[in-house]
Amino acid sequence: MKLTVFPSDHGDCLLLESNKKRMLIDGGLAASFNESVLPRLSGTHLDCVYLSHIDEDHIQGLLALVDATFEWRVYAYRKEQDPDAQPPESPEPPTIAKVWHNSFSDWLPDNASEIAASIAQTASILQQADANDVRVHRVAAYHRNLAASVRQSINLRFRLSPDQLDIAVNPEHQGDLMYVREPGASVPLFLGKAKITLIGPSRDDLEKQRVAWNAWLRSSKATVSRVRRQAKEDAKDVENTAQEVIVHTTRAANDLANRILIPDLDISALDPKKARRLGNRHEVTVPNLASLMLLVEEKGKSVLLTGDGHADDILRGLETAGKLDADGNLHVNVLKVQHHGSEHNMTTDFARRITADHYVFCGNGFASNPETVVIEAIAHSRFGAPEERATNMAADGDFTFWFNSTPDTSHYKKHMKIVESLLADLVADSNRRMSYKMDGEHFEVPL
Amino acid sequence: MSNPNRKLHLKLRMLKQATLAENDARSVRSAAMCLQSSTALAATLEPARSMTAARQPRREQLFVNVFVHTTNGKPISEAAGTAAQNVIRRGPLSTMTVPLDDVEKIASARNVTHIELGEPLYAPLPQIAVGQVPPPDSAIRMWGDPEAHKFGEGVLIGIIDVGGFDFSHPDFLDAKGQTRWIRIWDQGAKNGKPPGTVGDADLNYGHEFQKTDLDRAITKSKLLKVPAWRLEEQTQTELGSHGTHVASIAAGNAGICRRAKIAGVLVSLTNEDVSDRRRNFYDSTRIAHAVEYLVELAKAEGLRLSINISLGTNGHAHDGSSAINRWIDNALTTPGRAVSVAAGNAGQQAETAPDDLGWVFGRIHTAGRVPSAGLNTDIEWLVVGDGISDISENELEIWYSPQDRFSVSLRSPSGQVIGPVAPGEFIHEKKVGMTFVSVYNEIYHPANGANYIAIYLTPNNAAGVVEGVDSGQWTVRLIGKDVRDGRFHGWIERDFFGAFDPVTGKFYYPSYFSERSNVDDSSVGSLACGLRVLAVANLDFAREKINITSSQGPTRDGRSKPDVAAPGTSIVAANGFAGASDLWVGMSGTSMASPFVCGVAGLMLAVRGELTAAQIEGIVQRTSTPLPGASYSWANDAGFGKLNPAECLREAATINDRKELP
Repeated sequence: MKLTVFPSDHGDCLLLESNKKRMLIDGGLAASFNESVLPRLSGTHLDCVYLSHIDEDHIQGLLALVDATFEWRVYAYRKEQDPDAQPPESPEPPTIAKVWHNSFSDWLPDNASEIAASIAQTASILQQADANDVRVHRVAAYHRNLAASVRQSINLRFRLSPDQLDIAVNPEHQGDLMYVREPGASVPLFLGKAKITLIGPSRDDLEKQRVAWNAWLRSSKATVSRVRRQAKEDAKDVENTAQEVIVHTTRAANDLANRILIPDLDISALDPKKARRLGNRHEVTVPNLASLMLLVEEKGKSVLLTGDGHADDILRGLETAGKLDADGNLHVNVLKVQHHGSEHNMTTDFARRITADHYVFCGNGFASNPETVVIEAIAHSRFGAPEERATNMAADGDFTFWFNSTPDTSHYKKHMKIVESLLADLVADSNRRMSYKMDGEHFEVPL
Repeated sequence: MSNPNRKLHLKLRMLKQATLAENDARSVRSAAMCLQSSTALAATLEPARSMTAARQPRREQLFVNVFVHTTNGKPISEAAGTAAQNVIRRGPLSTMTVPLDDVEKIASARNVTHIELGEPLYAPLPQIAVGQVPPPDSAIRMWGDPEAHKFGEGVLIGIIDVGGFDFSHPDFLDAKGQTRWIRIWDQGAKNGKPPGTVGDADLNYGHEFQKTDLDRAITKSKLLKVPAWRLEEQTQTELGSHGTHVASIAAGNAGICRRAKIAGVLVSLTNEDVSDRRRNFYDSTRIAHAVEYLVELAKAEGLRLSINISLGTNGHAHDGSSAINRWIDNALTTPGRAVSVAAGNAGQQAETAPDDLGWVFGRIHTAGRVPSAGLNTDIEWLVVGDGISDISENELEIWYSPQDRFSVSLRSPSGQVIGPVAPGEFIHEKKVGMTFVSVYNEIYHPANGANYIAIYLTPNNAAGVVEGVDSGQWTVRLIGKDVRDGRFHGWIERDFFGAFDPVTGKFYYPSYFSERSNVDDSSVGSLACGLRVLAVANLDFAREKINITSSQGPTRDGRSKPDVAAPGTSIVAANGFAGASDLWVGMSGTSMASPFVCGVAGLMLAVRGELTAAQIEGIVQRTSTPLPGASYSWANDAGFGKLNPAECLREAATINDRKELP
């Protein structure tokens, strides 16, 4: 096996190879994909493209890949009519055999577009809300991002369909959603000689979230219509001034923000002076919790791909798949640390039980990821106080932290400087067991 | 020699008076301003992508699309010295695209009587059904004797529309798998192959797709695994495209003229990207060009022609006197042609459900009477958006009899009074609160001799600031100076509904009249007020009544528009650009009713090619069935009643039968 990690802004983008078969793992952002990834993949073949979930920092690059595929196919047509036709600006993209992706439209087959429209509408109303209210501000930002990624997911699925690019989606599951099946009913997945085990999401999770989406749709519809009724009342009131109308709108938007069913946002997380709490699953967004997560194994080597999933769900998935030892531990060669190293997705329990030779962080300081508390928790699980340390014997070896973004090209270099100085301290404390790499170029993780 | 400035319609005068910065802002943001801009201004020379370059237009880059009225239909020699483009003539009218600064020069020509700006077009907003629908039942769109009408063989169905035409949809493929679309003229395409010289007209913009292009794309799409519409790509390929749905009703394989040939003209108007409108024209001159194109194409192919226009305009006098009305009427003097137009979806006065916003579209017409000299009548005009600020330009036109003289004043939401403005006077962009107010009081409009008042509320577009128009009620007071008749009608120029401007992060919303001032009738769009067009209302076929959103007549001069009602509610037809798994979609609106009539008119022309538009209109009126409870008299919502296709075809077949009595 061979694992390559690409610089991808604050997103994920990796390439896993086994016996000449190649799988792209997420796409990062569009700009980083076009600049750092596409040129390296040009002229090759991808046996699988695995998209963990629909968030922008994972899906954008893949949409760019699909766009380039369209452009080059259209170019092939143009060239037949006109030998002087200009080729597209992007390098010729790799061919794609199949995609693994749980799209929003497959997840919510009855009303994906309605929900998408409602999210967009809610996002626009929230824009009128009081930006000084920290919570409201976060809710608004959350909806803006969600509106974009939901739209992109529907878009991607549409473009892969048989009428368009005709690229198979989840063929092992007959085009259905991929989720963890009963032990007897699980479908074997392969990449070359590597065996792949699906460890998330569970059917239960998807179902719960489907119910939550529908509840959200009902509640947001009711609130949006209230905002409109208020607008109409205002219109009737001849004496209403512009200021009053704006006040009403702001109030309605604030109200909407407070009623919305979204994760129970932890305001303390916004205060840099306050200690970061690890593992608050409520802080993890719905799309993140639905991440497709994979364990790849070949010849005694293993890579754990976690998307933006939560520690508890990863542990549960590994347990269901029978991958944990009698003490509930697993040591892998590579752990793609979940959610760019966000504190919400990591627990000390996870750090102690799931250990690795190589920890790969995809993040450039955006949203202060990777979080220092996460890096510390992992490091302490390897050489901290006895009660913090992993009990697994395999965890006694050396280990390396890998970062796919360099601090000096990042907009968030201030945070990466903090990370780097923490890493230097940890290396010093580790008695040479720990090392880290932060090169800014694409790199290969030794396997 | 008269002052050439006097020959310019006041909107043109307003634009000429504005600074470059004002016009530039007007051309990019705020609904009516964008509409105006596109009708009026486009920095045509700027590179499309560079926003920074786009921010620095030059005065000479501001072009306007105008109709020039002449006394004799002869060429205007003064245009030769200007940068005028798209000079196309029909009868006494010409269209041209001309730098704003050259308009006066053209007006100075002796044979020019007046110049008016193209009317803004508005994008249709049909109600779209959610979820999958079963395919249409082709049997319900079949009547009469197929031997006689041959499903429209020998007829060209011309669709002037938006959203793109999904020519490779199975509803448009013939037995050989080729498309039945013989041409698509994409008016908004840049750097394409324009139609060029077509008959007498030079159409030197956009891109023309030939049938061979479209068929090649269909063949290659299977090999290359790219949809055919990506290989020969129009500037608009919207999912659930309006134009595709409309064409499918009139001429799809499951539609009415299923053996007719189809040609489309794609007007450069989209609700998606408002900022892009700055660079595009989408006004009534573009409709005039589309009509010329289709007329010439039908001539060249030896086909009869039935055109559908499911787009609208709301400006002008609603009496058939606007340039585009006259243009189409002129084209319809030749036998073998028909034009169907959607009446509009402005029929609704009040909400029917808490979420229902249809009434905002419905309150666009006011009417009343100033009782006598010295007395006043107030019109309540509400500009509130959706409780979200409205950064669109709001425009109101009031028309009244040339016998009368009214002064007009305006009271802002905060109580400031502007005016009174007497006939022959005007106020240009006076700052009132956050709003710039313009008021014009004109007498003897050159097109119809009527008097008219125009009021514009323009948001503050000063550099870097975008403030919405002051929200609340603007009260327009008509003051009788000399009153003999006293009646007046007013219409709000429609602007975009809920369109989002990514530049400002704000929304465009239309203004409307208060319940007190709104008058339910005469909301039919001005394009549908033409003398010889078939104006079509939306019939809810299953419930046997007119859909409440369907616009009512009559025209301002009391003519019977809409003519007829056709099925327009929950109509299933081709779902554009959605792929094989999602072929059909349901939509409601007069946009769906109009192509139904277009298709039936096509069948009538297939039966009798020498029918004139006037005869077709007469047959439609004669054969229509009154709705339950109605009589044979014309009704302001249903026209002469429900279209009766079978009877239409029977009448068409026997129209020339004469029997000499012994």
